[in-house]
Amino acid sequence: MNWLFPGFLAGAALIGLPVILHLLRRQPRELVRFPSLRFLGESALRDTRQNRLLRWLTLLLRCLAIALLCAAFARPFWGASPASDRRALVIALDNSMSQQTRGRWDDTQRWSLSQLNELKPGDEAALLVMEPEPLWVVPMSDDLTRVRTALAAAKPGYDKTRYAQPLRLAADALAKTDAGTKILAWAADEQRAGWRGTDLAQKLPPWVSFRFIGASPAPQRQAAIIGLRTSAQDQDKETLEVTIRQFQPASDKRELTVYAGENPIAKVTVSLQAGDNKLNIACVWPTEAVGLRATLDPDDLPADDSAWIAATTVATNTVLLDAPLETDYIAHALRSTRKLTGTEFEPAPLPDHAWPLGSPVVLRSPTSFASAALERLNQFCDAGGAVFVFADGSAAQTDWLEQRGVRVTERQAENDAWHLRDWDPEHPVLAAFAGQSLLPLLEVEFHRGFNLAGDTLATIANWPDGRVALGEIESGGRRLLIAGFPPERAATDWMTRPSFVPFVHCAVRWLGSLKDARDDWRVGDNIPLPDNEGIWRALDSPAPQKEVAVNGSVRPAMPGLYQFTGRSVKKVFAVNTPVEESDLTPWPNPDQLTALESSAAPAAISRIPSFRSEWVVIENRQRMWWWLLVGGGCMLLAEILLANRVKL
Amino acid sequence: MPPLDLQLLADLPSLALRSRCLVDSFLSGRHRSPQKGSSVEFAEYRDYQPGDDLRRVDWRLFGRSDRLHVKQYEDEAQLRVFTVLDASASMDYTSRPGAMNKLEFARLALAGVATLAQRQGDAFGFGVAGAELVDFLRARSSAAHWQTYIGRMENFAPQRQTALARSLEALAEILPPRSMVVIASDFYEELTALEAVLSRLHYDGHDLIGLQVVDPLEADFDWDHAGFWVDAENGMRLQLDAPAVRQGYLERFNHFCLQLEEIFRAVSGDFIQLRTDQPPVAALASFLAKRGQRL
Repeated sequence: MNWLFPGFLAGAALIGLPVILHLLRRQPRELVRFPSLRFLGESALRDTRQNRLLRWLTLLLRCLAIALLCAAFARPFWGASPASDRRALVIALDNSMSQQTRGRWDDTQRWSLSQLNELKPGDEAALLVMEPEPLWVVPMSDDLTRVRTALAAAKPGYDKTRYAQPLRLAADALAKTDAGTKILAWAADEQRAGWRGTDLAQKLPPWVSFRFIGASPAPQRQAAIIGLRTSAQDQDKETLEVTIRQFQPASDKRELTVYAGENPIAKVTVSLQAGDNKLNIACVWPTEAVGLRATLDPDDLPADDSAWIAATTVATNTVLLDAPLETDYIAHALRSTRKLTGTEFEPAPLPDHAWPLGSPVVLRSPTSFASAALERLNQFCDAGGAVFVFADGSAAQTDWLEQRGVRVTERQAENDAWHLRDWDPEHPVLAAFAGQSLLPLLEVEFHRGFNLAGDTLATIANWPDGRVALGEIESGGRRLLIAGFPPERAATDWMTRPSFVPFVHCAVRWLGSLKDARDDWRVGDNIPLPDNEGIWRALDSPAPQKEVAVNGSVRPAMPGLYQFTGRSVKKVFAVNTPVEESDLTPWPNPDQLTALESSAAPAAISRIPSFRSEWVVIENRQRMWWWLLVGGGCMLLAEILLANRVKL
Repeated sequence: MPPLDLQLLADLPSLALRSRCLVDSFLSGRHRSPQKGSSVEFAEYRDYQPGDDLRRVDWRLFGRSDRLHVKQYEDEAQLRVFTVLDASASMDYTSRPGAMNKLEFARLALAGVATLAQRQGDAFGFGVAGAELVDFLRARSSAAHWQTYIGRMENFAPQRQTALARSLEALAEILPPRSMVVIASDFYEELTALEAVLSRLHYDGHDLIGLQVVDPLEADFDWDHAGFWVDAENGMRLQLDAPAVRQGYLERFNHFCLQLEEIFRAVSGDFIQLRTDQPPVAALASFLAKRGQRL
């Protein structure tokens, strides 16, 4: 039983008052000499006994009345154990790919269950899985069986480890509970890559006890296929470029097999040295095969021993840009992708002939909407080309946009800079920020801009007054991305901020679906799809998967070969495991993890049970106080009636 | 026993101690006698009988009626007052330390009665009731007898056991008829036995007065806590919660008093309850005054 206001229970000490008075009253034992007891015989003894009984009854009624009234004011209810005795446990379960390392998942589950088994009925527990996003599989609840069942059913995935967000989420959940003992059971393999970027100086809330398994044993044998590319040798043969990263031991010999579906088409024995090993394997690509799988013989972490490549035609990676009025920040941003393996974009000027449909077009100049350029622009758009327009307020551009249902009006200049808000974090143009903070986007300052409006305009971000600043029109699988500001320093400082480059990359990739040409999609990536709606189906993956209907983009949770079937397009995607997740090196300094526990004084969070709103709800539902009050009243009434009959 | 406070008796007002019965005595006193004598107070006429004293013939009446009638006069007789003191252990009790106990109170009241008798020339004597009649003083009316009376009253010890009825029975055997018997007691006796002996006394022509002497605690039972109650006569103990038994006690005590009063009324006697927290002489005087008016 719990009490909403347990302080009132102290009032029960008042019971001592009638008890003391009763006992004091019984003390006199004097001898009273009396002329004759002829009138005080058996009946007097009977009266005395009856009176004594009535006095005890009166005492009992008084004590009961006090106890019941105190209990009524303390507002009792059933349903949870007293907070000070209760323990709250959050199991943060690392289900990243590294947990597929031989023995680790069993150890993690066993340890987690042992933590759970320490709880007693009435305690609370929650299960938080870390990947792909921190997710409360079981929120804080006293249903320990549910947690146990969910824990037993959990499986490691293929995503990469990120500890920072789950750590704070679990800590916050524990900080909110008023349990006397708060435990964060960190069921993870303490992979170095997972802790990277975590602020270990930020302590957990006071009273949160941090328990972790400790670093898992290093694998005996570990290598991963981290890259798979093809290059045509001739019409019949292709060279498969396989990049294998060797972790343990320093050198090893492995067997590499290339499959087309279930059929092996090449098999070689490779000698691997620590670090990256690039291998070129000549193979004949079967004409009916939509993708290939390269597989090493299994080691301690088999999940990264396979990699897939899709047999898609290589699309152009050229992005067409018109002539800017000042510095070409877009071209700079696109050229920066040259440092990335296989994802480079090549900026190119708008050709004087018809613009190639495979290339997205970025327009920033009024000249692009006039005369001959306008004709090619319309032709390009009508044919399904993707255009990214930066509004500049020119009449030609404004007219062109209005023909496509977008009205552009210039915003009144203000002294203070504007910051965009209402970012749609699910939009593919923000794929680079998925799961990350949007703060870099919110910090961008704007001094000149245009309000966008239109019935078919989908909002990506708004100006501070709620008008559209960044929007998109999709029609028939074609996209028109419109920014309500020019990429000029006088209008914004975004081009100088780190968030600009990933935004431009994602926007261009989204527009041109240039990503289709990549062969290294990774688990956890948000893959933009070439059509708004379609079916996502796994052709080859470590485990069977169901077909799913998808809209615009998809985030696969498992590596493999996938096929997207849209209304008018069908494409194959190869998704592989995250490269950094294959590195099983543990965090080098476990003491830093131990030091996460706060040594702060308990002033911040008191051990005294706080007033919990859910308790109020439970108490209001049960309304035991009312019955106790009635009972106390009845006791008082009975006491008054009885006390009038008792000779004190 | 402490000496009687005679100063209290000095405050006794001038009251007539009158008997309800006609007094038969050889000595003259203030009380009417059933004997017709030569008193100055005319009583009645009767026909002349041979042998009557011719001096008593009313010659004037003879002159008017031509018949001989003899005048008769009331003969005043001396009253014998016997006071009976209950000397039981229950009488040796007071609930107020330092105050007069029941026995002292009763003794003083009876001494007052004797004083009144002595003032009007009546004879007075006493008996002390214990397990039997433990003391007896014949009735005399002389002043020296009053001294004897007071002296004897002061010299006896309270009795452990008492049998009032038996003592009265013994007294009835030796009392001259037509006496006034004043009994001062708490009357804690079997009522049937008491009723029998009082009836006998009444049959013998005695005028009976009962003075029930009670302590305030007996009358009110005003005791507010528990304790062991000890019977003054037989030593019996009871653990009682006084407030709880008060109501029952008072019912039974008052019923007993009513029965007593009924018994005395049945024998044409008078009965009064005297509380020891009242001035003894004043209470007695008040009672005698009222009684005198009734007779």
